[in-house]
Amino acid sequence: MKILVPLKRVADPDNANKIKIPAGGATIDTTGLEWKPNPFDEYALEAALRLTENGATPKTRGGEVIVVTFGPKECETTLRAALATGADRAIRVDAKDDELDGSIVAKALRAIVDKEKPDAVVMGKQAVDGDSNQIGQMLAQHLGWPQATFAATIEEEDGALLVGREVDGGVITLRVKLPALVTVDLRIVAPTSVYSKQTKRDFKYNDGVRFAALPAIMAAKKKPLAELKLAELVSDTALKVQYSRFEAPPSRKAGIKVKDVAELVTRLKNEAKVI
Amino acid sequence: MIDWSETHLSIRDAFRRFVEAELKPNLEALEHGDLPPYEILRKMAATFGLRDMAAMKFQSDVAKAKARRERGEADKPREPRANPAAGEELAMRMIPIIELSRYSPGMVTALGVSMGLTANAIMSKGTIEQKERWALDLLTLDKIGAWAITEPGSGSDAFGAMRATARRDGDGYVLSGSKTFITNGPYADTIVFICKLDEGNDPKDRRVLSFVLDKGMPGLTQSKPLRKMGLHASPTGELFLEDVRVGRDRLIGETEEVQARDGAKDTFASERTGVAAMALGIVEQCRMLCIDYAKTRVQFGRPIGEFQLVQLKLARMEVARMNIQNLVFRQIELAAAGRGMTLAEASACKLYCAQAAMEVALESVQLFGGNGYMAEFQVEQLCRDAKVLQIYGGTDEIQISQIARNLLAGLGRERHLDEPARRRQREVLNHGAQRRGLRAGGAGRRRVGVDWHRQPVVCSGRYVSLVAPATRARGAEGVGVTAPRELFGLAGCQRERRRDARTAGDAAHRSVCAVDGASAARDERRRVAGLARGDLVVELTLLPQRERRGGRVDQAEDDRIRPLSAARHEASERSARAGGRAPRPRRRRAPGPRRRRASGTRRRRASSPRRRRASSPRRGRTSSPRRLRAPCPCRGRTSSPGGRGGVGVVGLAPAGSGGGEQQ
Repeated sequence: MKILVPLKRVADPDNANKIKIPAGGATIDTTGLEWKPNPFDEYALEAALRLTENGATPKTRGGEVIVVTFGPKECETTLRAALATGADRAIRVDAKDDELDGSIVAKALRAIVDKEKPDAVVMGKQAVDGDSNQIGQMLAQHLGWPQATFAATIEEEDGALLVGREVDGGVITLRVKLPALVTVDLRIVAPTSVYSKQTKRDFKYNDGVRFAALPAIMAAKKKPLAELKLAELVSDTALKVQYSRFEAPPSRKAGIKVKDVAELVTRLKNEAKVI
Repeated sequence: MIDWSETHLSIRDAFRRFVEAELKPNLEALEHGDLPPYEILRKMAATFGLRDMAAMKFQSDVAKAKARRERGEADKPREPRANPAAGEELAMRMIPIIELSRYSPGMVTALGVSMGLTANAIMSKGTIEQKERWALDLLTLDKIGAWAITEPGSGSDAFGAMRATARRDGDGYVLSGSKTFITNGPYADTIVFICKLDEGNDPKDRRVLSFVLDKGMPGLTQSKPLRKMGLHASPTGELFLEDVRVGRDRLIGETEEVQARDGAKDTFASERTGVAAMALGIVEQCRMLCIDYAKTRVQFGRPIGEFQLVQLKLARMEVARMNIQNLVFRQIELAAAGRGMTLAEASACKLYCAQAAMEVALESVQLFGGNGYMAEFQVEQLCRDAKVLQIYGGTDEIQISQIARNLLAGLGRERHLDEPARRRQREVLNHGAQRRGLRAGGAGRRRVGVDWHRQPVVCSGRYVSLVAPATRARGAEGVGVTAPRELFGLAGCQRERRRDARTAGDAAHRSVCAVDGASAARDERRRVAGLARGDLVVELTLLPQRERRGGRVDQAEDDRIRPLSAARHEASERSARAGGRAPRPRRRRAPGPRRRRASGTRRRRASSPRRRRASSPRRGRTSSPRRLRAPCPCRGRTSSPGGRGGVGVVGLAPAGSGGGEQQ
């Protein structure tokens, strides 16, 4: 099976307090931020790797995983890390962050899918920076492919994927015929979430995303990494979404001490208006 | 190397993620709950493919060694040559050390002793069978190793005060003694036990041997972990041996000729370099925690980072981090260049890194104030852990004496002489120096890299073609003696001492002295000695058979010194006063039996240039081979081993005589 996995780098969510908004609030100052792959994209890559191998012998690849990202040269670090964990080749679409919106990315991805003809696109359900949660759905629409979003389990069948989606009160299982698009949620990296055809059903993966072995990190330098121009993929590069203003979350106000229960109740009722 | 490469950083990120996911949650149990570190280490080795890499490297090394043995070749010592892969390999070993040390330096110690020290002891000196039997399991962490040298009464003076013994018993040995402060001791499956061979002789003359022991052997007791100040993730214990019977197959190398001393010295050097990476991890973590704390801790209405006393602490931490990181980079660069640190350089490196890590960790506790004293804020643990860096692998004090010994190499060798000889040595060395108001010993010597077969690497002036040491040495035995040391005293020499034991029958070492250095004092001393700048002097020592151990030259022999004859010195002085000419002093035969000349040829070789020289005016010296040195008259009076070996000057050539480019 050949799987395309789009990746996005995001500002390290653990260091969100480093994000600065310059006066005016029209942009975000990204200097000094540490970049990490979007966690959901890492889960998608893990799922794709699991779908293209026999879990018991992960060194023999049973398919191809192509990772793709949009961004400047520095984004190649993200791609190399993905290649080190096991992806077979990488594509970087050269673009600046402010040239991109969900629509443009979805259209460009469509062009890449047309070229690469993968059997499936597996991607994170959303990026943790913008939290838009839309590219998977838009891309499926552009391609006319079946889609299964918020996947918690994937099982490969002949010519189809059996996808479990967690919803309130239970799990919906969908069978999508290949080629198909799947966006994954966090439980996709549990030990028994993904099974390829080769992997025995009693096999258990380690919980979480796999680590890259040292020899693989060294070998990743030699794996192919292609560069494409955004203009080659999309004819209309005008932004459909424009950010007008950013605002930092309000800083927490100091608390107060109350004398007795009576005052507490009064304040909760009159000031906090929660009772 | 000025910074980590992108690949290094990916490796670092991967290890950092692992440490935060697997080690951090267990830190409490490792610190205060006696959780042994081994399962986490094994998981790390498996996750990152280290286990497979170690096993593959082991298989290929052993296969090569076997092929060599089948062809009947001896193990070749590796020629030092530039090898970028070795640098990468070292970087990949250091990055995990740094990342582990950020949370638990003890894990590094436990890992390093097992996979490093113990396995290396077997890999470097053991037979192929011993490697296969014990080393592979250590390298893959399937088994845990311990390296037992320290005893209750022997720490810094590891060999001198060692009391553990091996007695011969039929074809095997009986071992007894007790060891303490043994890392991994309580849990070790494989133990390298270092002891002295008791042949009924004086303990200080005894040979040092290493044996491999397995857990559970009759007579071997492994204690429970000892309580200690820090480094709790590394279990430390005692070992007791009561008449443990072992076969010869457990003696490393399966021969008594393998000297554990050499192995231990190599081990110290590598242990010391590892400390730099550990110190870097501790300092990086302290610095990071302190910066965060300084930004968020508010006192007197503002973050404490705004106070200059706090800023000073942070700045000093950054300086320490930069310095230690540079030392780590230097080690990687050296490895890539096919070199390693010398023992003295490694000592200097260890001394600085250990002290810097301790200072940074202590200051971190101070910066955190009351919180720093509490176990909840990691700096307390790092501070306790850092202290060990100043103690193990050679205390700070031992490192200092190693460095000083190296700096004062000329003087330091005195201690190998007996007292009267030492006194004479001092007199002789100081004689000329004091007269000129100089300090004896000659500081600031530059090393001259001279390869035997090739041109000198760094050597101003001219170069004399040299004959293979073995050839010269065979003829030279007992012929003459000279001490390049006297040239040190007189002419400001730079010298390189190398050992050669190329063929089975030859054990020789040589010293190459380049007479160099630009200063008025040196010019004067050269003039007195009758040498020109750039002259190269070669000294060879051929050791008699009994001095050789396993084809290696005994270290003690290397360290001995043949003092300059005071008579000769005075003669040259007289000549200096008399107008720059340096006729040979009249020779008084030393008391004691006349030394034997090895061969007539040799004698002619030694004497003819002298005759020529005696009859030619001094000015002519550039056109003829310079005099060869005659036996030093003080020979018989010293207790130096020169009497046992032969020392001869093989080439002492005038400037230009090799290339013939003058005149």
